[in-house]
Amino acid sequence: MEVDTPPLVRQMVPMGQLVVCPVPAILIVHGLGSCVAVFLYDERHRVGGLAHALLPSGSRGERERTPGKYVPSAIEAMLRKFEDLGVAASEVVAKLAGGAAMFVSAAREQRQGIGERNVRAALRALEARGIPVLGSEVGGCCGRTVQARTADGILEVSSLRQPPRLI
Amino acid sequence: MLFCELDDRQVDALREVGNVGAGHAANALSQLIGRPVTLSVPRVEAVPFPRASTILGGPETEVAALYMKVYGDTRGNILVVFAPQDLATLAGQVLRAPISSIHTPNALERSAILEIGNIMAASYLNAISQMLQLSLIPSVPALAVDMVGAILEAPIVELSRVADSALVLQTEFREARQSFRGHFFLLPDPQSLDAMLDALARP
Repeated sequence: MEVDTPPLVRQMVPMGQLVVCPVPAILIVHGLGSCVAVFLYDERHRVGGLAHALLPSGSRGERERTPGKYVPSAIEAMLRKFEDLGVAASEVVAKLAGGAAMFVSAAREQRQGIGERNVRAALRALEARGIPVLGSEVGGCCGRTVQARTADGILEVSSLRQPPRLI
Repeated sequence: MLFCELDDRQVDALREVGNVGAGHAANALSQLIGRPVTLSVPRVEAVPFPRASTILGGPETEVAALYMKVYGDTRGNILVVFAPQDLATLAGQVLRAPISSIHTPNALERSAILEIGNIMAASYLNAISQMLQLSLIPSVPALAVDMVGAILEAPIVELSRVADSALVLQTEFREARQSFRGHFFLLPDPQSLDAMLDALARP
């Protein structure tokens, strides 16, 4: 017998934004470069959230005005949404993607590329909250499309010249 | 200066800046390849970051882009964006021989590709430097062939520290026989846009 299942929600997460979804959904970032995508997931409640953050840090005022733009405040904003849904930070796990250096010589001008700094900022913020990072596909110099599945916690990462990878 | 506060007169003045700059860039490119290069009328618009990649066919479209930073009295970013095959064709015209691959160019091909960015950015900035009496210097170009969304994050991240949208001066240029076309983008930093507008307002 066929069971009617509701169509799966496919939700884009634009740059500087974050989405937390308590129903089965695919949260998507197309064409991720130096930005980092942070996927938080709670297996027990099947709640997932994805942030598409641009910068490793910002002033307090900026973090309050646009939390999704900065890696640490984006993670905190997602965790608040998890708490609103009855999920504690201690139940959440994380997966990461992005943080590439798209233009190699541009990255060389800085001591450390913005992508790498974004990844470090994410790892630091997650460690401070005791959230384990179960997998990541970060760094390098390729753009990535990221699909986070809130039904099973799988993060699918694809790029133009590599086969898709499930983490 | 916030981009949304620009009045019509300022937008027209910036369009003229784009026109003069792109005219010189197209002229320099034309001399480099020995073929005529034509231009579209420049567009000036404020684009919210999340929408930026729609200008170039959506975030997953593969493009070849040359990226330069602008230093001097006005800071900003320059992107010259092509379909990968079009940049390969243009590079072949520069070298007077087809190139092996746009994804893995050899050293000679790579330097020809970067030279295209160099020549175009330098002549664009030279022209507007003289027009505005400002010092504007391009960085060394960098090349990426990848998804539009990922490539646009480079200039957007630079701008995003102080803004939520990019002011884009965009011109499309093409070789007269349609063998290639590309897009030239200047994205001035919001803080240094004032320097440009002041210079434009001078009698």
